[in-house]
Amino acid sequence: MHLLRLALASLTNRRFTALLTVFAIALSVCLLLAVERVRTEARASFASTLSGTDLIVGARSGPVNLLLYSVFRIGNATNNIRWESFRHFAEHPRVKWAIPLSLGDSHRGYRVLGTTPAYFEHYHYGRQQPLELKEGRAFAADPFEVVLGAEVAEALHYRPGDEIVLAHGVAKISLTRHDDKPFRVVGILGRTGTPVDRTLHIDLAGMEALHVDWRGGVPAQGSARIDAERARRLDLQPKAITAFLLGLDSKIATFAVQREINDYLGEPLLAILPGVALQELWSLMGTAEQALFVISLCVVLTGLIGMLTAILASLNERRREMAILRSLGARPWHIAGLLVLEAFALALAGILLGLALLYLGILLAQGPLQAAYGLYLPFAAPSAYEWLLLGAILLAALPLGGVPAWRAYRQSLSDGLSIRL
Amino acid sequence: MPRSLLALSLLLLTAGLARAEEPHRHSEHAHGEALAAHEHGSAQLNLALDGEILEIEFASPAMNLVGFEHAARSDAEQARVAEVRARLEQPLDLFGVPSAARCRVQEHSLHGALLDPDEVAGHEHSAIEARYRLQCSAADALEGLNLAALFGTFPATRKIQVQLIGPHGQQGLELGPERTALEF
Repeated sequence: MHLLRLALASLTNRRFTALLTVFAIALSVCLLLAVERVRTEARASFASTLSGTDLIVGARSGPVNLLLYSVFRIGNATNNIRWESFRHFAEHPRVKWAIPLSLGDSHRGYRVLGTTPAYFEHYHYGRQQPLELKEGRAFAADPFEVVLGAEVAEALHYRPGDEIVLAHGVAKISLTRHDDKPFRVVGILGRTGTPVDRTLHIDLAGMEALHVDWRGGVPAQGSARIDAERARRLDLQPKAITAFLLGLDSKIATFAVQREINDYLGEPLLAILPGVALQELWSLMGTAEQALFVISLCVVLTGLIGMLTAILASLNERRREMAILRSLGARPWHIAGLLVLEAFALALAGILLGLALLYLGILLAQGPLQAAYGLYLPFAAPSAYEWLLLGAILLAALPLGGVPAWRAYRQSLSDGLSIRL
Repeated sequence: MPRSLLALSLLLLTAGLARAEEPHRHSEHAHGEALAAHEHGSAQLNLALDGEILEIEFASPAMNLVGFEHAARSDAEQARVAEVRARLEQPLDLFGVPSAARCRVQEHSLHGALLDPDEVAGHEHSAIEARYRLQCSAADALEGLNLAALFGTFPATRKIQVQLIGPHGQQGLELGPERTALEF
């Protein structure tokens, strides 16, 4: 106990160097924990985005690609699929429900999803949680109605009853706006922590109506334009969609239906099991994650070596201190213990400050991260694995503290009181 | 030579045009049958466990199992095919289904050009597909499978891509001789 007090008193005497050392360790610990947090939370949020869907079907490309664009709104579809193909499989005897998805338009950087009311009924996320309307209702008979994700409504301050204009394409600033056919906000969904929050949902008929008078990729001009009123009276059956989600009546049927879709001769389709594709995505990301983890470990090591350097450098200045301690009856192992304790105290302070920095960072970055990347970092206590990492850092400080301790031990034997200052 | 090349490209071009002029028929045969991937050394395994029913679908290039992909000609080759067939007809052993789960084979079917001599051979590659439906009266004890026997019996199989649907949802994993166990 006396030793600890002495170590702390000695550190206080050198508080500037000590503080810098603590800060270096704190930053490295914070980085390590942040990387770990983001990794686990990214996985958790990806895994909880979709649940209860047995198959995702899109144009034939790669499973990861299809998963990313259909569910996470990352990247774009290689091809669209025919409405007939959707009808064919939606009416399949083993299919319980089918949700068509049509992507490609946007509103101020947020993606617009064309779908059917089945989406609000059958789309589940997390642990089989359905979507809930916080305000208003789902879109109904009128094609120009939109249901907003929580994030969209919050960030753009929309309320039910507002009119908004969608833009063609998914760029932040679009040159082509569908300003002749405004949409009315009829509902706002509750927060889910998934890409649904950042999506505007419209009926497939609305999606079709937006482009009904387009010729050759541009809106019609002059008299060829079809305004919203006339569009409402047209047959707004879509010809193509981007992808669809299927729920089956039994899990056993999944592989048979998957094979049937993959062998479908009408057009090249790809059916994937979302859970399997997600695993494939992890194995792709695994390498990058590991690299990040190794880098942050190296940063922690750098922090600890910085501490070692600081203590070692201080040894020379502290020969007088050691000599006085020795003269007062401290044994060489007391001196050694003092230095190990010092290293331990520095590392502990660094870890505590690192944790404080992490939580401060989470507090500050929570909102922007959720808005920009849809990544929700919870303000949660460190997990068992994180405690393990912290414990390992603390333990690593002990042998590192042993190096100056060994030197001081040797010096205090040879120098003794014969030190010349 | 350049001339024949020119002729060839013209031919291809006109063929393409002719195709393009054909009215688009939206029939089931518009695109032809999809070709399955075929990679020697790797196989696919689909598992679905729902209640007491465990469905197993195993598809592998014949090369991995039999050691050749042409129709069996010699007596030795025919004996080899018969042996593979006998092994595939014992799914409980082959897939390491734990006996505690008390599973019995309800249905099974084997397909492959090598196994049915009547099937028209002549493809360059030949695959073997096996499907099983097991009924397990103690499905709770069915925590996982171990494919050590499969990798041991068919050492040419180096990896198996698994798609699995179990009580905890869908999983994808890759098994190999050094990692043979999977959990539902």
